[in-house]
Amino acid sequence: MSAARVLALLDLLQSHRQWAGPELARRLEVTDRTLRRDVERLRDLGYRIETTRGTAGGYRLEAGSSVPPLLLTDAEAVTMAIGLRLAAEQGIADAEQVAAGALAKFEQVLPAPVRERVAALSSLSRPATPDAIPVAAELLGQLALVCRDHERVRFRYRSGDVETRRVVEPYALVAVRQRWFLLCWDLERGGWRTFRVDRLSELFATRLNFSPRPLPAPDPAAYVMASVESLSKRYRVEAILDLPLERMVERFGRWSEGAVAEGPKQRAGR
Amino acid sequence: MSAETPELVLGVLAWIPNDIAFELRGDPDLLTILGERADRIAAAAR
Repeated sequence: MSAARVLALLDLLQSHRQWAGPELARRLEVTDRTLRRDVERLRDLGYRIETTRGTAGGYRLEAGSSVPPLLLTDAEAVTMAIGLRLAAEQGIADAEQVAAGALAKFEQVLPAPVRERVAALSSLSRPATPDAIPVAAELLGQLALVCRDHERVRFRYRSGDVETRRVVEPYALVAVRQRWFLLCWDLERGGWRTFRVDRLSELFATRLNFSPRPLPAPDPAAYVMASVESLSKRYRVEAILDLPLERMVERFGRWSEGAVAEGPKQRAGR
Repeated sequence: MSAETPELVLGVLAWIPNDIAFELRGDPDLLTILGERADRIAAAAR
């Protein structure tokens, strides 16, 4: 029994949700029988690995009944999960995607009792800025997982007063201006769409995998940023206020971006 | 300023202090929508 091989197996199982047995055996360069023994070894260590049958049969790493023995105490796991959730939720520059990826790995194996403690403690935190809209970290974690695993999802989406049901192929989670967006291919509308995660509810992972399509742009983050920017500029007015510029900036915050003083009057926005 | 929806524009304009004179410029259709929304709110508040 090679410990390095078992760790390599664990690494593969954590990097993707569903694996076909022959594919795992091929990657690890072992026989099916050795693979089964290594899987048993991981199970003995506390990892809950489901065996799936049929033509697409294989192995899947599930949330266990206890934290796998690397490893972390419950208190350490709770602290780590809260740290990841806060990092993902609070718009730390350039860290959101990394935090969401790490959160996805972590949520995959977090046992239910620990998950409940994390949720309870996380609910005590609040967004750092007024513009940030809170999104449940568990939802972010689930979305990060289905993006990574190319798994179709269904959800409800609220836009204004209208709520619609969507079936999509999720590709990427992107944070823009302290809001999370999901870039996906909308199967019913046959096109790329960007959804605000805070307007999304009743997420259901179908467990149906899809073959990734070519993305609409090389960089998903830049694509989402551009579509959000164009949307946010759809409705534009100029307000000319009889108010000192500094008072206007103080009162309107980011809404006064681009404001300039204009003679005896001040110009707010463009 | 620019926003995703007319409602957001209206919400921001609502923060202009009552004692401050101001004027708006922009797309006539948008200004009409803003005026109609403001009228409805004013009527409902009376």
